[in-house]
Amino acid sequence: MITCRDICDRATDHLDGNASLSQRIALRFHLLICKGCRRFVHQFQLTIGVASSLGSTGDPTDEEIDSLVERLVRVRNQ
Amino acid sequence: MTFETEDALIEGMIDGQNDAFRTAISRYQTSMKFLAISLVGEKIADEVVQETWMSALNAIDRFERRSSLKTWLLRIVANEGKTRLRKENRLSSLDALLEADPHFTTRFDSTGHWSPLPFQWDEDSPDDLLTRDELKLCMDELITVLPDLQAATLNLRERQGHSLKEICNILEVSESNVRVLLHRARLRLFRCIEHFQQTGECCTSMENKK
Ligand SMILES: [Zn+2]
Repeated sequence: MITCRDICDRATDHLDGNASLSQRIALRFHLLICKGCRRFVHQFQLTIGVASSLGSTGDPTDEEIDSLVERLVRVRNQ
Repeated sequence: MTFETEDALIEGMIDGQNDAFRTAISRYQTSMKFLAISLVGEKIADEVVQETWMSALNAIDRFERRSSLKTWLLRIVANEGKTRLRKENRLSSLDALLEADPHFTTRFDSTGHWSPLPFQWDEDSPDDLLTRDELKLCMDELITVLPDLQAATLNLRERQGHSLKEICNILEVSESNVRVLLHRARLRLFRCIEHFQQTGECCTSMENKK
């Protein structure tokens, strides 16, 4: 029998498709009978959705590209 | 010059052509900087990326093209970043990052069942969760305090969409360790969102920024 603790430990493997068939069946079965894990797995998926929109960085400006190119060319031609 | 194939671009860089550098920078600089920010923090990310271009330039003749140019450049970013953190004595030990989160070991009873059940969140989609400004700010803060390789793994996977295999190539960490790093980072975010749902407060106030 797998436990809620196992579900919590393996959520990433399961969601990213790195679980074996027997593990997937055991997890499915556990979710059918366990409200806590249904909630956990659902909210863990929401977490992944949140993670996919965090942080940002802008594209380099033309001036940044120009000055970097200039430095690289200088180094390359030394 | 458009450098339609990657080989043409690499040859152009080897020849020292301005256009080749310009093309490579406009194609890859954003991803490189994004990775650098997650690994070493905003303050020195630009320096690390500049160092990366210099190193790449010195090594491009020897680039064996077994990975894409982008993966190769990101790998150099990771290397430069780790070297920098090691020099400043702030590179996390991989072993410590792989250890189980002590918080989650207290969440289960002796038979391994939730005790109590996970807290039910109010919102039911990532967008709904992030419409609360305080949570958005809290999450942006949290990713600045996540440890180096954990933050980098999360960035490469969730934001930049790399496969686990590519991430293990970029960060030079085994694939099973990449999985653990990713899982720990996700659990950390989960815990922080849960804490916010329960208390309305952010979980990061006690920690130091990278
Ligand atoms: Zn359960």
